[in-house]
Amino acid sequence: MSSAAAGWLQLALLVAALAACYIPVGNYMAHIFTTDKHWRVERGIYKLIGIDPSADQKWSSYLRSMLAFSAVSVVFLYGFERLQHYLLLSLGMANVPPALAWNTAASFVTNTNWQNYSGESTMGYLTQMAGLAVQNFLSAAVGIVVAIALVRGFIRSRTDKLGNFWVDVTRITIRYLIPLSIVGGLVLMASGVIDNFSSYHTVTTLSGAHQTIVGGPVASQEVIKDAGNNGGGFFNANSSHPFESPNPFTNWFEIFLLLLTAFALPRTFGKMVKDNRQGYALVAVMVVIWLAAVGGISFFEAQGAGIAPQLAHGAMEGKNVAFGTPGSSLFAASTTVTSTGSVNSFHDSFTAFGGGIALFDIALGEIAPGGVGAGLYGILVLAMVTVFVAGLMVGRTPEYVGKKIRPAEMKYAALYFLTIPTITLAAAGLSIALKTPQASILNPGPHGLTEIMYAFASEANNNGSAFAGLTTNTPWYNTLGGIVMLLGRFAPEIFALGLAGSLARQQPVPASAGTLDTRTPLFVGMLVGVILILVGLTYFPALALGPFAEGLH
Amino acid sequence: MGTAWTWPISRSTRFTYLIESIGVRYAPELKEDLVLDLVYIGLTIVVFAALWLLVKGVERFER
Repeated sequence: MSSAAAGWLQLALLVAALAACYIPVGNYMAHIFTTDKHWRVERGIYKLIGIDPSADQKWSSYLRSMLAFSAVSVVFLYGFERLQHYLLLSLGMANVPPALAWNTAASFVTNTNWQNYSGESTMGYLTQMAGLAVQNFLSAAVGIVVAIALVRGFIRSRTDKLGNFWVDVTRITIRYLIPLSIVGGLVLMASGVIDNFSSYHTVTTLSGAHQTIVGGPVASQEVIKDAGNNGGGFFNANSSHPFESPNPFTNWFEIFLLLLTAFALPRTFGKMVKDNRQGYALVAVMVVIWLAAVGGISFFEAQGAGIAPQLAHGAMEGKNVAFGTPGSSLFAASTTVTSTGSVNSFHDSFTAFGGGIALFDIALGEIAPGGVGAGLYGILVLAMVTVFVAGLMVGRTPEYVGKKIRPAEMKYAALYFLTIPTITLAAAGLSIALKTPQASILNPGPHGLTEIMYAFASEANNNGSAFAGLTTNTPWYNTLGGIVMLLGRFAPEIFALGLAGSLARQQPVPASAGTLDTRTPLFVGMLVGVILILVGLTYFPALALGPFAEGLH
Repeated sequence: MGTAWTWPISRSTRFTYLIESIGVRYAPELKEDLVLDLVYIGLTIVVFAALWLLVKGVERFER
């Protein structure tokens, strides 16, 4: 089978598998958040942490619970890394240095999983399992519950209560993320991903050289790394390491896992607002943007200019030959349109336009389908902007799913949208302007600019994939990166939950002749247009000076 | 004109003496990074305090 045919087959199977899971997974998540019944194990947890599961929280209390939980998580994970040498299963690894430990703690708590370290030479098994992997579950859960709180803003009226943060996080973790990880982990293990507590051992190769064979509980972390859109690899080479993803099937399955929840959440939205067509409209927008990203990166990687790419039938530098350009392009597009950030190839080695599309995907704000939860609340905010713009253009009443989009809601939406570009561009600008961070750039010129832009766009949008070519394990990048990740995660969530509170206080408005139908292909097209124009206008100068300049040169 | 008097020990060591005077003991490698640990925990508090203030600001805007 030719490489191109294999690529088309992979994509077709992926679309079929995701389509088959859309309704059952989406409905199941809606059930998790709407049922009144608590499981026994959940009641035990509520008792242990001393909360009343029947007490609903105001949006600001919900938000404060989320912030407090995340702050404690950062400090706990930081302490874990700083003391790992004295803990069990440390493999003799030294304590993680303070700046790196803080960057990593901020990174995993915010679902970013930006890594300034090599897992196999920095983190012991207990730190990987009980520190980093636990945050993989909890940060994913936090993203999902913020999206659900925003959905409740649409379905509730004349109240400022949005549910109970602790109940929501417990439920989604126990009823969805853990069972999914058990099943997915078994599939990965059966397919050849390792999972053990073996210590590292050195072997002599046939040529007489020495090689260290690493071990570790990889499959159990790999599954939530992808399913929770986290992305932090057990090994430095991430999903191109043969112990993390040994064959084309595991490559395909990991792409499936990283898209599954994010693509199913619009169904959850449709189910909860009792209008499944609203969910179809949102998922259609996500699919259009995802497929465009897959097509664009695949095209440029297959057409890589130069003698070597032509002889290899594609730009193969930095790619795993087992996956080829189709498997690598599909993975790169999927990991950058979601907030996953795991990689199976070296994005720095992509063609200028292929890498530029990966950067553009991240700049979209992780909405197509985006991070688990973060994608849904991001696209809902942009849908409201679209309704408002449409209202101005064609004189329709700005309403969305039975709620009016008033100036107050638009202010929240504008603040939400402006936060991440402000953080990204300010951090990148500072790093380019100052001498110390400039010293980290390994490739001068447009490529170097792309590397810095990619790093901060990835951190602010909580993606976590690295373009590489930039030395980021320095006090500057560790500290500024940590701040960027924390603000990039929580500041937009503050505006999203404020918006949810504002919507929940409203009385629902019945659809009238003046209401724009947000379930039609026309609306899908308008939403895609608004997303592309907003992102294009915001990032065009940086994209023009970086990847465009390099590609056209 | 005499030279300015300086502490004979580094700032981090001074802090460690202070902590040890109340009976807390640290492993040698932890001592070196203790000040940085406090800086990063302090930074965590500052960032979350800023976010907390943002929530307050949004609440005021709401009213």
